[in-house]
Amino acid sequence: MVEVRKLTSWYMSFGAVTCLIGLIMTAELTLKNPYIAFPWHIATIMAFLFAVTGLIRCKSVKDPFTYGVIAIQHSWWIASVGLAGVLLGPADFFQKVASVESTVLTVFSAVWLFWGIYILYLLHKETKAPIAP
Amino acid sequence: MSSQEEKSTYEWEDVMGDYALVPVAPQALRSTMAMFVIFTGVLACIAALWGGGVLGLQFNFRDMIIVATVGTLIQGVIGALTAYIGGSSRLSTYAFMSWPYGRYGALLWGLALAGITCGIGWFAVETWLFGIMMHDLMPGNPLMGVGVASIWGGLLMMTTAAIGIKGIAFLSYLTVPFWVVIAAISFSSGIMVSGGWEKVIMLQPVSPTPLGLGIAQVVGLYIAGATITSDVSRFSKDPKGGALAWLVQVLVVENFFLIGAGLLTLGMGGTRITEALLAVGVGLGAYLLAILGQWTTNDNNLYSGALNFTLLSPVSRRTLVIILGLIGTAAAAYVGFVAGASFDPFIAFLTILGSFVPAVGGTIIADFYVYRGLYKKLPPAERYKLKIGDKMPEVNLTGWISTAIGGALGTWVITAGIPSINSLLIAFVIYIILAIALDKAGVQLAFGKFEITKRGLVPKWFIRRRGE
Repeated sequence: MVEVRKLTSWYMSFGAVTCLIGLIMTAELTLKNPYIAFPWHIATIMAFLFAVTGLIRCKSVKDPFTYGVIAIQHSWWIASVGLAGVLLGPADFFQKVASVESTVLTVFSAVWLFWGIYILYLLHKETKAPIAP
Repeated sequence: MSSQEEKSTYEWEDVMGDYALVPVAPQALRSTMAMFVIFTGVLACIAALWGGGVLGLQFNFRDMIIVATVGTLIQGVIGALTAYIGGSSRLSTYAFMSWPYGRYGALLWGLALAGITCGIGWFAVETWLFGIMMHDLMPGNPLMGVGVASIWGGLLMMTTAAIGIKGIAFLSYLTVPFWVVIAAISFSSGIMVSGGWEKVIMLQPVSPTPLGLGIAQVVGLYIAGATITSDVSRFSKDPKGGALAWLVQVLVVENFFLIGAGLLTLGMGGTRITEALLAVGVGLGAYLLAILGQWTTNDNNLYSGALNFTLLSPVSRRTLVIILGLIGTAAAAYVGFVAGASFDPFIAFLTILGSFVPAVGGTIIADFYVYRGLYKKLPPAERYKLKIGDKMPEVNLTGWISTAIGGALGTWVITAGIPSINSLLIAFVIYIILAIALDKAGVQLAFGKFEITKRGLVPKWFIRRRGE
């Protein structure tokens, strides 16, 4: 259980830090094309909020099942934003002006997605919390 | 009572599955956040974006905001009122309809309105629409023919509905944040294609329409869903949680979807939203938008529909979902394969029935909040409380009369305003007058008695058939 908590914290911390990097990149992108930057703003702000609130909520919980429920909810949301990033990053709409920023954000999104799926599996297995609480 | 005590005193036996005919068990209750995610998953459908796309053809940016906000506010209030009933009674829409309509009334109205209209009927129609959309996106692919795509799409949607609320929640968790990002793309690409923010504000729609009609369209888009919110909110830990979740998702998320899609079509001058997203280069996301969007909505249609069929059927809710899902998929595929066949008459039939659904909502709201609340002064948790040994009327004509009159006047007689709102308000007023007048006169329009057992509203013949 300790190991799962540690991995979940790492995952959410990684999410929060990469979102901050993403926010800086999208701020620069706004100067080039605000319309292309806007969806990335929404994605990074959402993932950042999910990660930070997840860290805060999980920290105070002792009961493993309750911990699992909260951590699974937040991991799902971060992973879902990751899914959007993975699918949309390579699209022409984003590559027109912002190929570098889009590529970096797509890589971040892929990590949010695939690491998130692994964390969901672990949390479900260890805490017995439902996979969709 | 603590949650531990509540769990140990749960006395019901759920023979139909997913608490179709008994109150939801304490261990199955979910947080307000989970309610929000499930509701948003149901909302996140192509129909919401198509609805927004239609607004983009009819209104400029300023009017679009007015129309979407007023329309969603009306939906929000109605849905929150019905969601609170589910949260405080922990019963499905169908189950608590037994109070204002009697048990057979709940069966009839639940089946005809929520079961056929919102459930199986729309499941078939949306499965067929899914086939069309897939065909539009990939016309040359044999797996994307309207009929073939209807089959695999219908089967996909059936799987999560068969799993039940857990399956629907699973898909909602996966889809909801993804959809918000997609709506953001729709929003920003719409502005970009239009030539920038300054030009968007100046753009004029292709077919200008009066504001009232636009509000009616927005309300009509989701009013049936607003009437049956209890099917989800009954799982809420906090009785007010489901109502709050509904209100927030409609006012914030639906508004965002509608205006985002509207901007894209306003800017592009009239294309379907998925095609518009493809045209601006969103690529694979547009396909997933279509698949996940339709899936998260249509599994809920099937789930709600099957809940309303449970009393008629000798099989479990899951088996019902599969049977009804196969029928709906077959109907959609048939129309998809047969050239020239059209769902138009069927859609017209469903639209008429759809005008009746809000009349059911009006009756339920009047009974719960005014008759049992303000008039009888019962606390919310006691108004629709299922108790073992209690007797319930088989038929309560008060609800039948108010719904029939409200539905008929709102659908066919009154042409001004919004048909669904007219039906709801007329049924609401008639029920209050009738129920209070009858109570004061000491007259009962309720007949027959059905005794509640530990299996809730499960009929005796079902138990006999099981050999118990």
